[in-house]
Amino acid sequence: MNLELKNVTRAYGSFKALDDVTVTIPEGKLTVILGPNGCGKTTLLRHIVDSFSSKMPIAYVPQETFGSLSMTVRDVVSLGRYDRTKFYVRENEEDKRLIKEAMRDMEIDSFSDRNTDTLSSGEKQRVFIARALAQNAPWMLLDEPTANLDVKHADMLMSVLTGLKRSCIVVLHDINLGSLYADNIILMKNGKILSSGAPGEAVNCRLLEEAYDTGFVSAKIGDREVYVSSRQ
Amino acid sequence: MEKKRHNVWYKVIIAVVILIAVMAFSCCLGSVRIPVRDVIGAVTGLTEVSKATDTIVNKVRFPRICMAVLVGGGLSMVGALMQGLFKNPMADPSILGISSGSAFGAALIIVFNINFSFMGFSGLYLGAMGGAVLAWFLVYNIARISGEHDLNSTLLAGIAISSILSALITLLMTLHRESMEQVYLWMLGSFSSSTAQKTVTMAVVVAVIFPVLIFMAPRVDVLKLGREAATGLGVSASRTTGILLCACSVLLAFCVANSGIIGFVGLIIPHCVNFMRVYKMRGKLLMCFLVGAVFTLLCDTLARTVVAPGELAIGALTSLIGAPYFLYLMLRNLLRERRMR
Amino acid sequence: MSFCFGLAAVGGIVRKRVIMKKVIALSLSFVMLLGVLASCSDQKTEETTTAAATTASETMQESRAETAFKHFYEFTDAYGNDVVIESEPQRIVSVSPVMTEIVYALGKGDKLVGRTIYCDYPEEAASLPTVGDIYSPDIEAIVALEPDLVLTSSIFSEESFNQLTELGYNVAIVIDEESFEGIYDVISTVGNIVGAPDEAAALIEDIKAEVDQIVNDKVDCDISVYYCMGCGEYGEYTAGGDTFINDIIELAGAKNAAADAKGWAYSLEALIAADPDYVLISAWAYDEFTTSENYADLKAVKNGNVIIVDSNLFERQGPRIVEGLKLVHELVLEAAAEEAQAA
Repeated sequence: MNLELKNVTRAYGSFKALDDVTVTIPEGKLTVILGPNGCGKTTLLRHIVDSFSSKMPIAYVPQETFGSLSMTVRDVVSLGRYDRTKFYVRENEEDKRLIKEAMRDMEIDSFSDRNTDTLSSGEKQRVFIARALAQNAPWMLLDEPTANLDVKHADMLMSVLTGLKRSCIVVLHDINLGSLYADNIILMKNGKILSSGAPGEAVNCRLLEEAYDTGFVSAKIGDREVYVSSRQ
Repeated sequence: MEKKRHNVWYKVIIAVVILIAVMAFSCCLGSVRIPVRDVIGAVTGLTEVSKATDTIVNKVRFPRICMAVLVGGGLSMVGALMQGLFKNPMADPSILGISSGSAFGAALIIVFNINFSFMGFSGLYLGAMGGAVLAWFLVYNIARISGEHDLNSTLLAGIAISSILSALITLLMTLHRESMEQVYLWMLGSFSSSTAQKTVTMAVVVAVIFPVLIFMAPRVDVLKLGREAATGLGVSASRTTGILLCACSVLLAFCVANSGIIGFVGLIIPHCVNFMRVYKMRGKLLMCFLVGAVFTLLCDTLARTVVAPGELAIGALTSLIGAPYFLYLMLRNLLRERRMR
Repeated sequence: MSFCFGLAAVGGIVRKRVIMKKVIALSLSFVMLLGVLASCSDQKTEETTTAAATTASETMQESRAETAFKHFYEFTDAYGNDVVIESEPQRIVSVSPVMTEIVYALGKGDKLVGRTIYCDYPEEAASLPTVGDIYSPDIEAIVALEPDLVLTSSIFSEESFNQLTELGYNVAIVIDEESFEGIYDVISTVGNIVGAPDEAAALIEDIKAEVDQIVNDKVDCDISVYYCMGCGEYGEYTAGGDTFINDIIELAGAKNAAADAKGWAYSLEALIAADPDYVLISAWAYDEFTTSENYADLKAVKNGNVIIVDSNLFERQGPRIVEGLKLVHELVLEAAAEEAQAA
């Protein structure tokens, strides 16, 4: 089931975070949202969670969490299974398997007993992503999950997501990472959708320049189109 | 994973045993010396004891011991929930503003010498409850002005209302100096006015609220992931926060009305439980109740025996005894982590 | 009724149905609990109120004679509670220094089994075991003494009162009135309670006689006296015009320098303006008063008329209040003599 957004406007006071947005996000595909800071990417994700979470479970990974969690890594990841276990049901074999796999995929099983408060921001982010993986929900929404990850783990994450064959929406800053892995790209600016579609159509130098207000040059490496910003 | 599960219950059982032992031990202590076999006789009713002994053990000491257990446990649970909901290790029950509300109500009753009794509850008790209700009403509704339950607003409203009420209390005290000592003593906290009736009421309140808190506890863990992440898992941040804050407020109101303000317990006991490596909220609430009960009971027993027939202020004792023990736990934990690295 | 009101109010605030259900559940259990407790405690109050109803119309004399059959004595205490004393008390715990003094003065000191740490007069009281302080005494200690009556004055805390009555002990809180005549009621009531009504009447007569003697010994001298209860950093505290200490001063023939004040609080400015002739003060405050700059300009300090007194003679509404009266009267006589000499 595709996610349909029609004429969505979200304003904080007079500032329009989302301005009359209409877009369809296909299911089963990895959608990457690109755009400059403050263009409404996070608001879009939040809107999706608020509107659709009552109809189906959504695994959401926020950009950052504040405050002290004082739980071990494994405890946090196991929260992903809350939907099924809630209060009174014990973890069954499948729960344990999902948790273990999630931790393995994100390479956090080596410190699964550590208190999350003592982790670096990158490790923490991987923990939260693992939690979302463990949730095994049909839709996964990740808000800048690679922000604190190093190159290797960022790449690892994207290939894990692609391998899931689930509906994913990922907000990224790295244009090339997005265009490499995405099935579908949405480019945003100032609360509006500039373009959406397959990477070849939605992203090109002209559109990127319009979105980011800075020059772009592209080069072909292998069979990939790579974009690099250049100041003008 | 199996081992972890067993660990929590293991600790719970040990804590329960310790609690029962401390309760029995406290029954034997007091400002009046009563030999242990008389105490046992009074409790079990098997041997004949004098009416005075029977009254002292069963109607003076026992209700007080139960009250210390209930209030200590209640305060610790509320403290744990505050630290979990606000994701702040420095949070404690007083951020809700309820303690100040209670103190304000009690101060009014003391200063204006309002004497009345309702169904066996003294004016002081009812005044403290009334003040708590007032404070909670203000904080709750201010926090809900934006429509749904906002943690930040609750925190700020709680702090603001606390400050206003504390200032009013200070004003009251300075304008009526002759009552200042009484108001201050009440605020310092004491279990000396525990009667069977109050204790039964408290027990019922705890019996009602405890399951609510335990039931909502896993959701607090989920909320730590963030509002949207929790929504995606089917946990409504607004509703969970609202229900928990209401339940905690009721519990806290009764705690403070019964014993005054005992500040240290709600802040530190959850941390002590953390050091026992109980992290998830459900087990943590249970352990907090038990550990808080044991700790408060020990402090109260000390308070009423060390300078008998006088009494030490329990608020001071909990800090004096609790802080060094907490430091010890913290240092032990830090050293252990250093070794692990 | 009020529950429905409350529920409606809550319903107005709470919109979501699930929370509403939980609130209703909580409120219901709370109300049920209150109902259970109410039915438990109703019994006790019923008994005392019917006893009060039957004897309310009788005078004290009549009730004494008649109730010798039903109960020993019955009166209304400071909180408005009707206290019924079944039989003459044999074991009394006094939680008030005034009560201790009065009981000994009535010759019933042998009935006392306990006192507070502040009960220091008469000397025989020192041999009694202590039960703590006046406001909230140690309940365990009181119970251990197995009293049949707990006697106190109105500074007793409501909490302690509830605790003791719940445990089944008779607690008599004898009313403190803020006037000199109040002392006669107090002595008379205590006399009735402990079974020494004749001694009480005699004591009252003695006191009245002494008071009359002093009052009639009118001297034509106008001195102002300031009774200092607190000074220095803690602020000025004295006996205002509506207190019984004021009455003592006036009966002795002097003027209370703080008569314009109400209650116990005063101010340094007012004190300097009043500039009393004599200052009565406790030993612990004497140094502060005589050495501090604040009071150096008062004529009482300059003339050395700051006098140390035992505050218990003034502040305890017991038989020794006559001593306080005499003390002030002597000052008046002394001042009159000086004036006569100077003239």
